[in-house]
Amino acid sequence: MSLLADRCLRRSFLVQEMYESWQLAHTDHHPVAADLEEIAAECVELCRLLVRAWSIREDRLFSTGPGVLEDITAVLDRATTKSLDIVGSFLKFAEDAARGYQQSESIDLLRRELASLRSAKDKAIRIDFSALRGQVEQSQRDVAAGNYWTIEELIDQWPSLEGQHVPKA
Amino acid sequence: MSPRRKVNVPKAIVTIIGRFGLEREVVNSLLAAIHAELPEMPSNDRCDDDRFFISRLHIRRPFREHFFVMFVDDSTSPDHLSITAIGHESRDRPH
Repeated sequence: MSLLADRCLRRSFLVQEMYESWQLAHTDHHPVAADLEEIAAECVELCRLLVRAWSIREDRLFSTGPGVLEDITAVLDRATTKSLDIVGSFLKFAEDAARGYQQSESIDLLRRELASLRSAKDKAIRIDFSALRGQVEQSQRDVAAGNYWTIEELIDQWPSLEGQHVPKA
Repeated sequence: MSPRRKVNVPKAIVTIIGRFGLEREVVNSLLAAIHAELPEMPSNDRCDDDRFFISRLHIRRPFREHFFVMFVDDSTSPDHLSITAIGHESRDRPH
């Protein structure tokens, strides 16, 4: 998973470099349609890669294991923010360039992929660490005061605890 | 081979689990997973407070799946693990 996240980040830098180099080489504001198609295709691939990475991250969260993928999430956030920025900028440029002409299918496709990426990032499940940290003090006080169950006791006694220490399901 | 560590669940955590409003089957599965899997879980992924490690447990039901994230204190006692924080998320099961 960390390899995939790194790949997303590297790819976002590559697309940025490609787009910016192309802009520098075409300061006459007469973009070549084939170039725009090519950059759009790269942007589409970048968006799809990131959407896939967010999906895999969520599948990994919904599994048993150590940690909560904080490092991976940070890399994906960075790659996604950069990609939204670059692709958004390219789309605006391409839409302006195509004004008065029929929009190309690749630009329409890119617009949809960009929306999917924005949605994947916004909907990503994130762990509220401040809420978890807020539980620590009381838990430790309970343990110090002997207010705890062993897991075996809890398995046996859960039904009788409902309505007392826990709300009834 | 070191003896299996016992898991303690403070009253505050029991109350929080109750507040999740989960079906009885999900709670049963969660408690069983804590019993079976937590003592075997790698503890190298530490919180910023390094007395605790972080772990996830996954419970799959027919139409919905759940994951729980926990801070686990393994530093206070060599023989015990104590759950000091728990969070819950769920989603529809992908078909």
